[in-house]
Amino acid sequence: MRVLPLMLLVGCMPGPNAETMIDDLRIVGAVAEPPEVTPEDSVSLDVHVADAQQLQPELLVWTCTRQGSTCAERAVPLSSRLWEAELVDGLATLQLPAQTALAAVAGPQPLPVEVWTIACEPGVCSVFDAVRAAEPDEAVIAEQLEDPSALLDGVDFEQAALAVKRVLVSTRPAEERVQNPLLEVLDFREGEAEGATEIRVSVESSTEVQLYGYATMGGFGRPTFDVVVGETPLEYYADEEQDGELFVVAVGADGGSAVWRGTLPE
Amino acid sequence: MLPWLLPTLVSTALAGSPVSGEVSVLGDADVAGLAVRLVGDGSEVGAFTDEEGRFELSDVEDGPYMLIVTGAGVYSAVLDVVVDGPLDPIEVTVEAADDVEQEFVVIGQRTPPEITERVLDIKDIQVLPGTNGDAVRAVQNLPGIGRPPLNIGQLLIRGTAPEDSAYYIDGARIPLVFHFAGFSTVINSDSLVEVAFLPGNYGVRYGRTQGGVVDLRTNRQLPDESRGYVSVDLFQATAFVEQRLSPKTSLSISGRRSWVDAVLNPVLKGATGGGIQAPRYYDLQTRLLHKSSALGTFDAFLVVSDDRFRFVGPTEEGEEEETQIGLSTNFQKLRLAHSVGIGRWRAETSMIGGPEVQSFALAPNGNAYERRTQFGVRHEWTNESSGYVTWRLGADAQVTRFDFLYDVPSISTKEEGVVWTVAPAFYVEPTLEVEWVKIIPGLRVDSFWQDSGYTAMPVDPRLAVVYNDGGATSVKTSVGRYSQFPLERQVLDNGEGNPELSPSWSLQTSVGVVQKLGPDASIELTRFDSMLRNQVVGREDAFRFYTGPPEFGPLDTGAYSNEGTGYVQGFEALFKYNDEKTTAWVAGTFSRLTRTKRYGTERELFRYDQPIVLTAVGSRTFPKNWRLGARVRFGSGNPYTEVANRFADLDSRQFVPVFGPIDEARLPAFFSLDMRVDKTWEFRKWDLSLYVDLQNATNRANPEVMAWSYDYEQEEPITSIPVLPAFGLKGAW
Repeated sequence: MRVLPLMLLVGCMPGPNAETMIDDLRIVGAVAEPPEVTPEDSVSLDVHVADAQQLQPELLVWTCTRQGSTCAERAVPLSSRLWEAELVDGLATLQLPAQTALAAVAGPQPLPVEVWTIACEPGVCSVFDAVRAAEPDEAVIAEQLEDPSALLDGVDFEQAALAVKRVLVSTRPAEERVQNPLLEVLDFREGEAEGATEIRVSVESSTEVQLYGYATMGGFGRPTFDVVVGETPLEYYADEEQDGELFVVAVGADGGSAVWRGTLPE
Repeated sequence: MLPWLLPTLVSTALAGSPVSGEVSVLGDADVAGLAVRLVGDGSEVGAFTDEEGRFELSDVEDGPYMLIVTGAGVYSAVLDVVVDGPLDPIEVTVEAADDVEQEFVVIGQRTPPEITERVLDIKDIQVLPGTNGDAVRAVQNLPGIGRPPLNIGQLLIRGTAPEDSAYYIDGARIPLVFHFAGFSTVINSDSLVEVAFLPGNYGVRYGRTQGGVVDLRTNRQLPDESRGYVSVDLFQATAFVEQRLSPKTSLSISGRRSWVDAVLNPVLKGATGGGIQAPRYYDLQTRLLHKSSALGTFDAFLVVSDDRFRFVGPTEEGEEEETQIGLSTNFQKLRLAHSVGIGRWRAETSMIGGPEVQSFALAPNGNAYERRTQFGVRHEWTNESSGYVTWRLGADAQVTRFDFLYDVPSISTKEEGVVWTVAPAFYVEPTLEVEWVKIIPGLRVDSFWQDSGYTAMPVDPRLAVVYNDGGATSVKTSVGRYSQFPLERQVLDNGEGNPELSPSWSLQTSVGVVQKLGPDASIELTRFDSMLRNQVVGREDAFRFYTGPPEFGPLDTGAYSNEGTGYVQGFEALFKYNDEKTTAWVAGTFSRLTRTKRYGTERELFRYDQPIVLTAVGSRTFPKNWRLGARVRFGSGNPYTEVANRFADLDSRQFVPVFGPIDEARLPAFFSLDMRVDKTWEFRKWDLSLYVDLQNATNRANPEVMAWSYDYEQEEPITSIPVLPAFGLKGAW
């Protein structure tokens, strides 16, 4: 239980932060390249999934241009806005087609299109059965996709993961559109705190960027890190017994993102 | 609900008896306007003589009394009188005296009691365990009040939300009654003589609210002698001085400041690098009381209150500190009151005015405030004659300038404006006494005008009937309508508000029995019901200042409308015992509160539904100025909405909860034991008092508000404070 810490806060203690530790199924990041497109452009989408319990989940991705409680895509065939993707080593790569239907409403002001991803332990989420049916009822499925949280009805926390990422659609010139930050892990060093490893990363971006660290074993010292010009050190505490997978996510203030995943070197 | 209005119990015994008589004066002194008091054991009634020296006192219960006649220019006269049914007229003779100082006697110091009010004497409140000697916190131990989360001082009265109840000083409305987190009331309890709690079905004197009323009643007696004290306790330091300036005038000054921030802030700064700063508050009251035999009583009361809480951090440049999150409330109110007896009538006029401000800041660019400058006036006539009918006639009005800004981009869209409102009201309430029955119909007409063009004029009829058998048993029943206007922002025609809103209202009924069990004890049982209609719902995503923990769960983001309804059904029980050494009571409230938000939606439990609230509290004095007290509380936990699952917003990097059925889960039950010991040392010219109030003595971790881990996977309720040895030291002269 957590006692109200109204006046009794204590400073942070060294060691892995619980918010960075992944022990279940989690969609860690979804990187759209480019993050902002015109209605005539397609988008490459990388979905990064952490599968700490080895559930080998199945994956669905769909788009929704929100109009109140409904999606503008309700009128288009499911095949042009809903995809089942295969995870390979925790990564699924998709090519989202051009959103030509948005040409009528796109303008210089970026329009956010929601890209939803659901990863489920096989056999748990009924939407997969509905999509795979010999004659799927597209109207019913389209209605379900408009309220994604309802897809989790009756599903336990550890059996599924649901996430949303927004891709921007506009008619702005290319030089004005949002770009993803460039994220590179430079090296690994022994950290100042006991048991810590310092992961040094560099970030290039035209806007302010925040870094997030996650791990399936051990954890990072803080949930977020402010980017330092040049090299930014991230403090990571490895598990003493097992190696895990690490993720570093860079999120730009304008909506761009980048993900690095890997393991500590031997 | 209507069958409850029909009395099923009828007592044919008599009400209290009238006592009348005539005063004559030996010598040259005016026989009119002399004060005649019947002082009994724990009770007092009084009246003034008319031009011919006659007086009449009504509703006097059987028993022994002292009849005391006093006044300007006469020596006092005292007689022993035993009332045992109606008496023959009493003849009293007083002697004129040129050298007698004018003596001012307050007759009917208390506002004529409401049928449903429960009154706590300040002397008894200040030593109750678990309340830090605070008057309004003591009220929370009475039946009809739900237990607020985190003990922060919200008043949850008979199933209504905190914002539906109102607070008054002697019938003049004040904006806030508690400092931050409910540490203490903004009014020093030593300025008060009693606290009246009216859970519902009160008379027409109070309006513009559909919930309950807490009326802090100040002491209108001139002090016999000057006095003062300085005290320090776990949370604050207080100084109080009351000085008799002349036979007719007194002045009191009281100041209080929290000191916990002065102690903790250096500690917190070291631990958190700036971070949270402990809240701080202060209040100041000044009161001038003047009594004139010809012109009546003049009372000027100034109240200043200021609360502040901040979370600080470095600026973007990393050098200076700036407020990351800040919350403050402050108000200054001046209350002027005048009362005078004119024949058989008493006229009371009070005015209260001053600014009140709430503000909120959230770095980097969030800013919100509500500034009200309000002026209120009440003028009321009551007559104290004992005939078949007594009257209360009055008018009260409020004029308000409301200036608001809600500009917190991370929470909601910007709203701002300045509006003026005028809200006059008129009320009339005759009391008809026919032998053993007292019938009190009343009518209150409120009106509301806002410069945006919005107007409303609800009419609230009310009725109370009391049967009394002249001794131990009283039966009371009442019904009434209570209207409450929408908030100013809710009726603006700016795309955010709805100028078509009507006032919300409640139809309240109650029936109860009060049975005296000897001179020191009584038991009271009350059944109450309330039907709420036209409740304003919608726009729960809009920024607002909360009185307690904000709601958590799916929000109604639709436009404001009057679609909300509610039902309250309940039962209250109160056993009281009070003698010279002991004050104790056992209170129980059993209720069910449900609401519907929109047409066609299912009825849900109200977020403050607490089916069972039990409180037992007692305090007793022992030899050598020792006093011991204890309080035991048990209550149902509040409903809450479970989180069924969650999804990740990869752009904001936050988890978003997916809610289960609204308010279907319930926190575990609440239990707490508080114990208090007081010791006073009496010296020649001053007293020293020490108390230790061990709160939550069993150190039970009561879940108060549900919270979750960052990913909503684990429930991590916020619990009440652990065992807390609150202490206080007071030096008084």
